[in-house]
Amino acid sequence: MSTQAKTPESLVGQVGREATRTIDRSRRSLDLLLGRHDPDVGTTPKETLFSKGTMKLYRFRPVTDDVYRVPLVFVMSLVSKSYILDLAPGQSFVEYLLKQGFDVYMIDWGYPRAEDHTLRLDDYVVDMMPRCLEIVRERTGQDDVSILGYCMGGVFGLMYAGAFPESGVRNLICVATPVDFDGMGLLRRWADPRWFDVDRMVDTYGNIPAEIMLRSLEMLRPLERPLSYLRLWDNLWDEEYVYNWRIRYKWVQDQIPFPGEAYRQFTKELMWGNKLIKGELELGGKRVDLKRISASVLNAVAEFDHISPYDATKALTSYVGSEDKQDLKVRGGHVSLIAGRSAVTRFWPTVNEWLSARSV
Amino acid sequence: MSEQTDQPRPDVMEAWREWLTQTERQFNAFFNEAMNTEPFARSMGGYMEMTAAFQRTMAEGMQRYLTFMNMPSRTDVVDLGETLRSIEDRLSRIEEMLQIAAEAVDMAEDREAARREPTRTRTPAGYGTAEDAQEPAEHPQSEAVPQGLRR
Repeated sequence: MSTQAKTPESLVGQVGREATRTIDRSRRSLDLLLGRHDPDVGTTPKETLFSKGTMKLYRFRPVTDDVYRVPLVFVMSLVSKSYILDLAPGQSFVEYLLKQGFDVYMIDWGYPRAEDHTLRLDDYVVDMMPRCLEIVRERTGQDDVSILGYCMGGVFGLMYAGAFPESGVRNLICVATPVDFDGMGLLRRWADPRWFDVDRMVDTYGNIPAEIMLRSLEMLRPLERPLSYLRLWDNLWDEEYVYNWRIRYKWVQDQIPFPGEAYRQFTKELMWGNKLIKGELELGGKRVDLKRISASVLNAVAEFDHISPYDATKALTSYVGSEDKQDLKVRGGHVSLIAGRSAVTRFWPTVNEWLSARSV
Repeated sequence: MSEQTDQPRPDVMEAWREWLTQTERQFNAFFNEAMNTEPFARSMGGYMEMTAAFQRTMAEGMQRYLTFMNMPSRTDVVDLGETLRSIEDRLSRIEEMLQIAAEAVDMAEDREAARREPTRTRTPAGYGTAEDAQEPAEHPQSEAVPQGLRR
């Protein structure tokens, strides 16, 4: 680094800049503390086509006069809220795909209520998903559908396509989707059956509380949260930075409970048994066989994903029977893969290009 | 970010940011290594067990207290929620049947909605042959496709 002395002009300029920034910092600190100008999320216009319990099937209003023939259905995770895919205008993956001419639907499991503790993976994959996809088919008059699943939503997509190989899934996009649960790193270690009594957890809590889910995920990167506050302080003068931080913080903190029986099943069958890739998973009496999947598959993984580690996601395409399958490895993390500047400029256009060619 | 001035000078904040990033990386790696051990997993399991036991004891005590006070407990509310859910499910089924019936008689409203539906003939730019669907690399936007995507 250079060690040249400051010129008077630059010093004056610097003082002026810092004064302006101090005013901006104060104003934005107040906004944050008082919760003013809370960013709106999930604002893309949509209608509810079907609901069951907390689950809702949405159809986003098309914005083009001509859409691709094959409808696209987002399948959400049980771990997080759906608006990660529909953040603010200009940062919404849903909005982007609508503008590219896709007919976009979303299966959102919602915020599980206490009485939802009895819901199993079978209920999601063998009951609710088929019903929703049937409605999409009826609505569009198309037999084919594309499924895009983020995180555990991708696991649901794989389970559905593996359990119903003749159901007309034309394209399957799995984003940050774990398949090899032996590669789940710390989460797998903590769920070691010798020390972790999942039955006691579920029997005690019913649904696994959002607080436990949030703290478990935060422990994977213990310094991330405190340092994010430091970085926020450093950038408080920057309106765009603060806006993006607030959106991201809102989503990260907006954790939802995990339905109890589904959690028990997820832990035993997937975390402990790794049955998805062994072809031993049965849901609602149907065997989930990934080798019977014939849809075109795009597996998008993040190299530095700490929630769905690269070791758990990288081999997805090797387990499916599809001939047309591709891997896309992105330098980034679990969230930056799907949302944020890098996603907007690189990942979204890539998905558009891959999917549009397969949606006619 | 630091702003450029006529004279380059040391930027303390930039150095601090770099230090922060490195520190975060190193500490996370250290903690991850420490937490990825059997003793840690065992103690975490023990903690969860203890918390669950405490939670259960509290819940049972509260249940007895609420019964004594002749007030509904959480279990009662959850049971009520389950009853409501079954009613919701029935309503959903009725709604579905009504929808089917409405479609069967081809209501004017539905015809109007159908007229507003977009057509389904869109093709990606440059799409023309069957091979195009298999080769997105020939798409005009293919520069945006990272190397790893291409087969």
